[in-house]
Amino acid sequence: MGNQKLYKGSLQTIILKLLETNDKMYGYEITQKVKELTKGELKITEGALYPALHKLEADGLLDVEIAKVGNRLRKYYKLTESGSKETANKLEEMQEFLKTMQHLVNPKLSLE
Amino acid sequence: MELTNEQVQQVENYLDNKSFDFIDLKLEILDHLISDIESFIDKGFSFDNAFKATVLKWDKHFKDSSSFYFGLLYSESKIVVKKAVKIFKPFYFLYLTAYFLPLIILKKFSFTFSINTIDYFDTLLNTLSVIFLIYLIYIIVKVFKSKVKTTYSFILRTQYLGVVFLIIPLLSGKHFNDKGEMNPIFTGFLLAGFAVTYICFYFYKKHKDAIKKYKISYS
Repeated sequence: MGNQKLYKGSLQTIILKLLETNDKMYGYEITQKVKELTKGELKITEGALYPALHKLEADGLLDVEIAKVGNRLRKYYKLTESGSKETANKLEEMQEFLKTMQHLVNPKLSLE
Repeated sequence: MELTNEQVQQVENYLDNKSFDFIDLKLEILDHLISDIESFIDKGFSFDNAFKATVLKWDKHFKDSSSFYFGLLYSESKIVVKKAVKIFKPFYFLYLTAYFLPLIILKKFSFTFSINTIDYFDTLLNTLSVIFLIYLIYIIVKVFKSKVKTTYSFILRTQYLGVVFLIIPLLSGKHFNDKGEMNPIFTGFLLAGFAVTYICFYFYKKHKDAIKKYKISYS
């Protein structure tokens, strides 16, 4: 399971990155995709996922689309233009963060 | 395996029993619950057992919860409050800034105005207060009468005490003391009142947009 707290601050970046790769996704799909990509290491709870999605939507970074799927309605999220720009910024920040952590935690393995 | 219409209805009834009728959230939460149940069924569970397992996982999200940002008197399902807090947080700081910034500035520095300017400002501020107060009351009445609930209407319902910020300076009618200096407390109240009016205007628009968007989807 790892330490879920370490991932908590990165939830928005994870969501944005997934939507950048997958065009449009719905809530349940995001939780399953993260579980699959991290081999079960990271499990996003509904209680954390939806407030994060709604905040991104309120900030204008995500757009929503509602479609009928089978016998129910489904809400899809996709990146807006400013969402795409923000994804690039967040990923850059994340790379910097990882590099810094690498320097701190394991200086011998750092490339620079 | 996809659920039948009767099974979907059973899941929807569960949400109704929890009084979870927020139009901007219900659609995707219902879809998530159904997807969870379908995933359990794919693992070999019967519908009844899959439904029970899903309910066990979700029940905590529908428990009554409140937040410091809205006051402990206002409670709703945890999932609604969490969304509301995420959206409302920046506005809460706007609120505090509108009240405390003029208060601090006017306590530290005194600005003295001539009688003519005082009369002009008193009239202007009182007129604005009356206009904002009428608009605020209009929004509050509309929201309380509305049968459709959204996360935004929950936020709006927690803001009606904000009218006090407009009423108190209005009742005094004067925003300056005898020396011609602005009253820091009343100015803070007044700006907090203007901030509440803006917040209510913003969330009322969001509430109407959500109704439009999701009502079309449901119909």
